[in-house]
Amino acid sequence: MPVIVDNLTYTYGKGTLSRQVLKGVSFQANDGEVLIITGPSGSGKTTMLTIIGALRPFAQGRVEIHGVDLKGLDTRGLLDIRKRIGFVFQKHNLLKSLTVYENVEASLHGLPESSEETNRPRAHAMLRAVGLEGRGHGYPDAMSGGEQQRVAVARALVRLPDLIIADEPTASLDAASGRLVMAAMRDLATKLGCVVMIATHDERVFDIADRRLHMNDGRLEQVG
Amino acid sequence: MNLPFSTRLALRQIRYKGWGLIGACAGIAVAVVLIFAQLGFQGALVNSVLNLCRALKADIVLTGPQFETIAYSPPWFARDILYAAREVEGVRDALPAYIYIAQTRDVSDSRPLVARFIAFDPAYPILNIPEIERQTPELRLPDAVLMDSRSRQGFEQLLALYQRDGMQRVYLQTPNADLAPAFDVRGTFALGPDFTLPGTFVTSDLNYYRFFGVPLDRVALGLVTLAPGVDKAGAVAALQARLGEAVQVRTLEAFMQAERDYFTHSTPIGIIFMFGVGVGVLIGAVFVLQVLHGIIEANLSEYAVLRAMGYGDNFFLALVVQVATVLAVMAFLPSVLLTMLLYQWASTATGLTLALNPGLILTVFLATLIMSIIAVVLALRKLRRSNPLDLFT
Ligand SMILES: Nc1ncnc2c1ncn2[C@@H]1O[C@H](COP(=O)(O)OP(=O)(O)O)[C@@H](O)[C@H]1O
Ligand SMILES: [Mg+2]
Repeated sequence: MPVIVDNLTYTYGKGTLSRQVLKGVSFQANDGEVLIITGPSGSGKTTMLTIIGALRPFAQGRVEIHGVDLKGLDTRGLLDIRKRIGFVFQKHNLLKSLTVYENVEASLHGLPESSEETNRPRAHAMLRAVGLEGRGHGYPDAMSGGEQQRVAVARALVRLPDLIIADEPTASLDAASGRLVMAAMRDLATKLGCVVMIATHDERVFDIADRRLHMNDGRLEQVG
Repeated sequence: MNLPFSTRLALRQIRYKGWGLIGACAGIAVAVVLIFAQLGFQGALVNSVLNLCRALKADIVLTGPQFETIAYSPPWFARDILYAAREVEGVRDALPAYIYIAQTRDVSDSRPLVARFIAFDPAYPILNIPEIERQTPELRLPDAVLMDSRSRQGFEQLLALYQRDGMQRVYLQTPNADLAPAFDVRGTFALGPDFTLPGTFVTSDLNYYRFFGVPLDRVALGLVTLAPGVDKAGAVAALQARLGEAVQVRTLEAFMQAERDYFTHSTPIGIIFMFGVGVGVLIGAVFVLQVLHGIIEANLSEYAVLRAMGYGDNFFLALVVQVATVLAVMAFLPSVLLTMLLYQWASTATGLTLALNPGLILTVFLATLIMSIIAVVLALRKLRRSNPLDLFT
């Protein structure tokens, strides 16, 4: 299984101020599968995604990504596993000083297979895939919010990740842009065969998911 | 373009700031010019003290055991030592030089002016200054002196009078004005002022005795010349062995280096100028830091995304180091031009020689890099504030 989460438990703080936010979360996801995670604010969605994204150390439970157990990885190992993950956030956070194309390409420089010859066509192909062909030489500031977010999606996907983690990716977009961004992720997940996990409140985009998981007070249950 | 990504990003972020950097660059440039000024003046001051040393006709210099610097009235040693020195193998000659620092009275208002008197036997000149050798007959006259035409501060007027009217009579400053000895300026030569003493006169050993009443068997400097082909280091060792603890024996080069060291390390001069350099470095660092902070602050979440992607601390360190270095270089080049103007102006204003040379440029460039490194170290704290966890909602 590409992604295995087993009995993941997480507590913020210590002693009397401690708060258990994840209470034995378990699920698995297949290649090419798009999971949408819903649930009320404060239920623990983000906490779970940051742990699976190798950004937050944890003590209890097990998380495995393509056979790599996240627990026991050192800093170097965590950086390496993050090179196989694509992140999409609510804000695009594109570097203003770089062109759109260069922003996408930045996602490739750290990778082991990065090379001048292959990076260029890969980045341009990914911009085409998110519907921004020919826009690579412009700067992010000259784009609409929806376009910027699609660049962010292209940046996350161009590295051909094993896993895409998106936290509220459409929260700051209008309905049409939101659908375009989601559709781009859906398409690419199918084509590239990676796992996509999206935490969202946005009911307008639920239908692109293969499965919907609902988080409630630190426990995960399947919906429908 | 095959530059590493950190380099490209550094250049782009600087370009993105564009004219917004002009203020910071000006600040860095001022700091760099300040450093140039400090080191330039220090070099010029120390160099000015060496004017006299450079003119000495000597391979080896003998001084009294307590001798520290030629800039003040040096302690005496016995002339007999020079006779002993002449007997050492390889020594061609060992000549006495007398130095006395005295106050003279200004020609118009009788203000005291400090001057250095250098005396020697006119038959055996000790200075490599052709004008002095040409005027040996004048030097032999009673009460005659030659004046350094590049003397400053009050001596200009004396020089102007001499050039207009010929011989000038000058009185030494003594408690009893009626008994004050006088001397006659009968010629000039060009040596150049040093910053400790505005004026220099050259006179004969006999006149020196007449003016100051110091017996001629008390010598300030012994100037040893060697026969052609004699090894200096060997001669120094032989002289020291023969003359013992009564004198210091040094090659002219070692003697000059000691003068240089004395002024840079044993007087407040070196500390004062180093302090100035330090202030310059700190001022520059503040301006570099300001730019780094601005760029980092504006990109906290952008950098956090790169961190999430797997870019580690080394990448960000390389990034800020390069931003700081490019800034330093951008500010450095105009600073060199400004410094050239400053040096030119300062040289005319003070009579000291301030010169840009590759060694000095390299030194200041290193100071500029230190400036950047300080700024980078201080900027790292802010850099650590970019955290991928803050990108989630
Ligand atoms: N750094 C933190 N320290 C302490 N508590 C936190 C921290 N981050 C989140 N929490 C708490 O953990 C709970 C879950 O938060 P989060 O995972 O962000 O939920 P969601 O993304 O579903 O809104 C919330 O009650 C939140 O207040
Ligand atoms: Mg959340």
